[in-house]
Amino acid sequence: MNRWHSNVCYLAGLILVLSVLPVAAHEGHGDELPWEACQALEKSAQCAYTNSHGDVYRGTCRVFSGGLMCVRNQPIIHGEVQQTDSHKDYDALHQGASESGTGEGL
Amino acid sequence: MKTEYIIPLLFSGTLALAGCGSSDDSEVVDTTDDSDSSVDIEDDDVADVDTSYFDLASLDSIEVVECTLTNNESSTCYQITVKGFPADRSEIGPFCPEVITATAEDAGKWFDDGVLYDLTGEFIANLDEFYNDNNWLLYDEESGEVNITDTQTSCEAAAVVDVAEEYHNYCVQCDLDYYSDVEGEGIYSTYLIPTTPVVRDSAGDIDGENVGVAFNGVNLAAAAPAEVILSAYTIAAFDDCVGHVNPVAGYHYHGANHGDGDCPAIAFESDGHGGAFAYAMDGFVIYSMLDEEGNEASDLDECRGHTDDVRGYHYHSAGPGENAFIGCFTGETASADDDNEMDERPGR
Repeated sequence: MNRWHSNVCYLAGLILVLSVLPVAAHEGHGDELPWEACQALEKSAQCAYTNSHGDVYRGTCRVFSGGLMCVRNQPIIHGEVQQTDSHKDYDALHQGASESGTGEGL
Repeated sequence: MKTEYIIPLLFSGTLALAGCGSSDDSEVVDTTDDSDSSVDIEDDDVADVDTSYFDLASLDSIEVVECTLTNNESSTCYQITVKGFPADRSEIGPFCPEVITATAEDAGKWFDDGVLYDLTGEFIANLDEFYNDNNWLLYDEESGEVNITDTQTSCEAAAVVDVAEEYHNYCVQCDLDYYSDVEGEGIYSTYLIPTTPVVRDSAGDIDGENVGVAFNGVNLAAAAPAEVILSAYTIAAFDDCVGHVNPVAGYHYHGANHGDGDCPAIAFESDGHGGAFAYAMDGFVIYSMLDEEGNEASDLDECRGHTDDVRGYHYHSAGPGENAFIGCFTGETASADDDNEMDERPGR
């Protein structure tokens, strides 16, 4: 049984929601990595993912809206941009992205 | 039939599905080591809630009431009613760029996989490339004008779970004026925060609940259902403060981005520590992610909290593009006793 199907079984109570949201899960859209990183893990398990900038986010799987999301609790490890597809290509060409926020102070 | 808006969706658990079907090649580092979720904080490291942090202009009222904590113990709580408009700003937005030539100055933000992007016209024009999906087309190819939900009807139609196809490929923004007749006010909402935090035996889930309330009177919301928003080929544009408006919560934040663009900065602590900007629902203060030197603490627990000698136990917000502030609640949260029913007064 693959990880996705295991997760579906674990979340059987969400079947009703699934039935009214047939497009929500499998379209392959963005902002998936923090969730994907916890797909096969338990709550409070350590998790990590590497985003399109090659930066590593390490944290813990925590519950948001019935699902597990990897919430970072270690400083971002900045890496080399590893451009392979979709918004990675975009990021390489365009400006205006921030992982850690910018100015603070008065 | 009751309309389902995206915010109520957060309570339905739909985001459990958000990790499925990725076409992204980014590495997912799989680890099975469990961390210790027990909470070990000394009493001396727990500070009383200080309501003087709140900007008076953001408040309708604060009073002390009886409440029941999540451990079923009776306690006292601050019942804080805010006006739903950021007291440190005179206006919110901009959100969606009007044309594909718009620069960051005339547009807001969008986030993806931990990164906060300027929602420039160029970003809109390249969404098909960004998401590797040719169905994205959020603008008129002849005029270059961006498709924006610029009426109450259209914004509410695009802010539901099952967006009608006619509202696919829209940049979604709702005007706060739809929900308040008073300039400088939004949707009033009331928060119940323990007067003194009570540390839990183990960390509590945020799930779909409010994370907290900023000192400027703005709601810190749970994670935005980005997967659902994107599945309808919509962008629920944020302003520079990572805030946006929906019909239920009014103006609310999904990240902390102080000092960027139109978003006001907050002061660092005198010792260079990050600045405080909100109370979490358990009564612990949330500080900014970075200190004055641009560094982030490396000893945060799974809730993104830690203890120091000056502040005691406190949280640090996640980055502005991470769709989260903190990971969980270290302290007990509260519910109103029967005679202190929570009050929400949309559009007052």
